[in-house]
Amino acid sequence: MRSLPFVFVLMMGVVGCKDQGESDTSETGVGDADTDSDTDADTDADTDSDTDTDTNVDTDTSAACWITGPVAECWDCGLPASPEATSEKALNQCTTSTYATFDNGARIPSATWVEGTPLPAIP
Amino acid sequence: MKHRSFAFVAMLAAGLPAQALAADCTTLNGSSPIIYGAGGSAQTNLVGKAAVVLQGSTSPVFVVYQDSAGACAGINALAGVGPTSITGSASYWDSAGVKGSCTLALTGNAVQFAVMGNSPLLCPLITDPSLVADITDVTGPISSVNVFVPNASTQQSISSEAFYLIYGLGAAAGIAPWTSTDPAYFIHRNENSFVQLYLATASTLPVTKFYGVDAGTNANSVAYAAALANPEQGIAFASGDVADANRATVRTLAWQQAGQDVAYWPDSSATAFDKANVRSGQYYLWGANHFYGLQGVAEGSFADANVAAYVGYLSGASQPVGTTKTITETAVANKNVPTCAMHAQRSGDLGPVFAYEATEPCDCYFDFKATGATTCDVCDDSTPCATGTCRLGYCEAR
Repeated sequence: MRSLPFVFVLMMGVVGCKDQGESDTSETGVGDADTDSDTDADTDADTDSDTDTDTNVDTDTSAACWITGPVAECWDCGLPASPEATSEKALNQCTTSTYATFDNGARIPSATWVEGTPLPAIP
Repeated sequence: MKHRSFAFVAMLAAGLPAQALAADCTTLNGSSPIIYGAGGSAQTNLVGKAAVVLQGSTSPVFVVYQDSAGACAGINALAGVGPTSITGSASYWDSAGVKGSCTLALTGNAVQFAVMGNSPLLCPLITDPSLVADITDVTGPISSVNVFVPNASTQQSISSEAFYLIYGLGAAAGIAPWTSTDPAYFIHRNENSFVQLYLATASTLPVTKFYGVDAGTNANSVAYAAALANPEQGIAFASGDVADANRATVRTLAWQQAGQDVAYWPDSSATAFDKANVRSGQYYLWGANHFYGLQGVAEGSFADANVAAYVGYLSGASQPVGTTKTITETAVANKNVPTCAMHAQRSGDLGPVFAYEATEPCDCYFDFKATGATTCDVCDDSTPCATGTCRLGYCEAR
């Protein structure tokens, strides 16, 4: 098998700040149950306040919901109560799930596409 | 029966075995009314499991379903923008749940219900909402869409941008290891397929511009991938329940949607079955299955009572008389996610994700059935819950 010119990270462990005490990611229901209960509490406690303060253009308190994770910031405050323009918060939730990383910059030749530019039209 | 006799003789003359002709669908239903449906192969197993439940009702209904023409075929038929009848052969299920093939009427059988994983407006021929104004659309268990590779592949993940380039340009994209010049290594479906419609939407690749070979069905996609001579170079996609049922031969890739920092599997890991990331909305490729029938007099009703009974079960709106197996149990057995186990919902096909909490959650039941473990207490009439509500044998949160 030829050497594969890519880099990916497969991590077992915590993404979210609240779960840093857990060193193992359980693949049974235990970790998920904990996560769900935390999410429920956050949904009840934080979503409304986030919704209220999101309308205040001078103070972005939703920034407090973006906490530092092992790879990048993750959303720590539960899903929004109503659809928003994008799913950015949903896609980057703090979670105990394992993840992989597909490095577009390393895997996709620059002659094909460079991240940050429009994808090429398909003939 | 003259035409059948002629066909039989013709086949014998051609040296074909006589048993190649499947039984007439109308000879299999006993005294039960038959309803004919069409739609996606991603939903075939769920359709079948629900069909078995309906057969066990004190008012049984016999279901015949064709999935060979793609997900949109059913809604196209109901809307009158495509063939309104199904011909050739279709699937049926016996009382034990074994799927068989039966022969439809030579002139066709009118489509009475449709099933697919997407809303009608993703279908190419449904160009305006008015075309489906007289069709009732209800949703049911959740399905994911999974991009996968043969198990011998070393690949673990893919981004939506890479997916666009790989399936748009093939080997010319230069994205290793998917650089074979043989189109057989890029397995896809067509523009009427729910899974391809979803991936086209997620990746922005035009649904008609997928490079490679059309496998025709979800099951074929798995079979084609598993048969590739060089597994490292192969790639395909199918519904999550089909991919999960075939983990012995294929492996789902973690999906990294544009705007997402990392890639996630539908489950909390590559080997789990908990669908944690579908249930939280973090895995991007998921949606509720849709069930359709011609609308009755009242908005939201079904014109055909038998369709109403069948689709009502699939959507969770009703339980067939004399049966006890709920759609939650059926969905879990089929490796779908019942809505009661979801904590996210979305507006429209692959729309923005927002919070959802079921009024009657089934997280405990789902976790145990899907993974074999749960932290919840078991319960029954003699062992009530200290907190929460006893449902399907577990103390759910409420």
